[in-house]
Amino acid sequence: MKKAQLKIQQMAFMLIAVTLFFALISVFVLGFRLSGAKGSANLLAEEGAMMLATKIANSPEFSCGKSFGNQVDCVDADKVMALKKDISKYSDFWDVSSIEIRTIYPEGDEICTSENYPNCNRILIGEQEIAGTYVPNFVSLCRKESIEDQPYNKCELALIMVAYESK
Amino acid sequence: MRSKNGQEEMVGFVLIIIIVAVILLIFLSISLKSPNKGQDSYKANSFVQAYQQYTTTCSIKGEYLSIQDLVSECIKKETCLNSEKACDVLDQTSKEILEKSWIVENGSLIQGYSLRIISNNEEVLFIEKGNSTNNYQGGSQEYIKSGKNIGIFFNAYF
Repeated sequence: MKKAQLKIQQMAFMLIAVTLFFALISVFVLGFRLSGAKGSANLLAEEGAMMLATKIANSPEFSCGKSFGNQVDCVDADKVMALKKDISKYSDFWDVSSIEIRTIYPEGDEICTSENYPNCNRILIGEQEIAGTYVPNFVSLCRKESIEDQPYNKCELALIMVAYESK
Repeated sequence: MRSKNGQEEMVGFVLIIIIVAVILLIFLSISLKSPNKGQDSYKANSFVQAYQQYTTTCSIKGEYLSIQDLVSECIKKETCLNSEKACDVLDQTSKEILEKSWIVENGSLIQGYSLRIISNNEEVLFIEKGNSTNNYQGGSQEYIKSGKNIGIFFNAYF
């Protein structure tokens, strides 16, 4: 083999080695970047689910409106209990599989029915336990109460859980 | 002569590797060291909203007060009808709400939390639990009541 041929071969090997080296580094950097993107995508999906819960909480069928003084993220418990009776009419309205509103302070596990309301902690809409994929978000669960015939607003801290089918 | 050429090429190749490795290390250290800045979180903001609407057991002038109203009464050093101090009810109720809402224990996602209520740059209430980390999500609410600027600031640390 001539000296020039040997040089060309040497150069070719060198180029291949350098290319492989940079390719490996690119794969490493790309992997690092993509892992961050995956985390961001998960966070966005979670925020999206929370926004869905809040959107439902602020819909006219659930929200306190002006009854409790222009409050946001506020669910009218009396309204929800009335809605619970006629939920069959809303079966495809929100495109979710089930909704649960659970008070966390005061805490409890009593499911609300027309008999025990308001001495209960969990309002199930759709007569089924929450199942599937869901992300809870905080809301204020308010109702009208009275003391010595004087009405007042009673608001408790609750979580709204909206379950939807995973796609 | 050939051997000297080969040595020079080897040195060149090693130099390239060292330069790339240094660049890679700098990139890695910047990526890992830069703290996850706290950001406004949807959940933390919803918590602050729901928290300030909570109806407490403190009644003044015949009506039960929300946390938002109770803060104003605490600033005025008022006492509830059941003889409890407004500030004590605010402190106790806030602690209990936080305990139930954000579980901090070994192995849990949440490392800690802090709640600060400020009125005209003076601290009205400060509650914290667990560790404060650089990775946190916060929520806040500022409003004016009885001529005072009141701010509620909550951070959950992960």
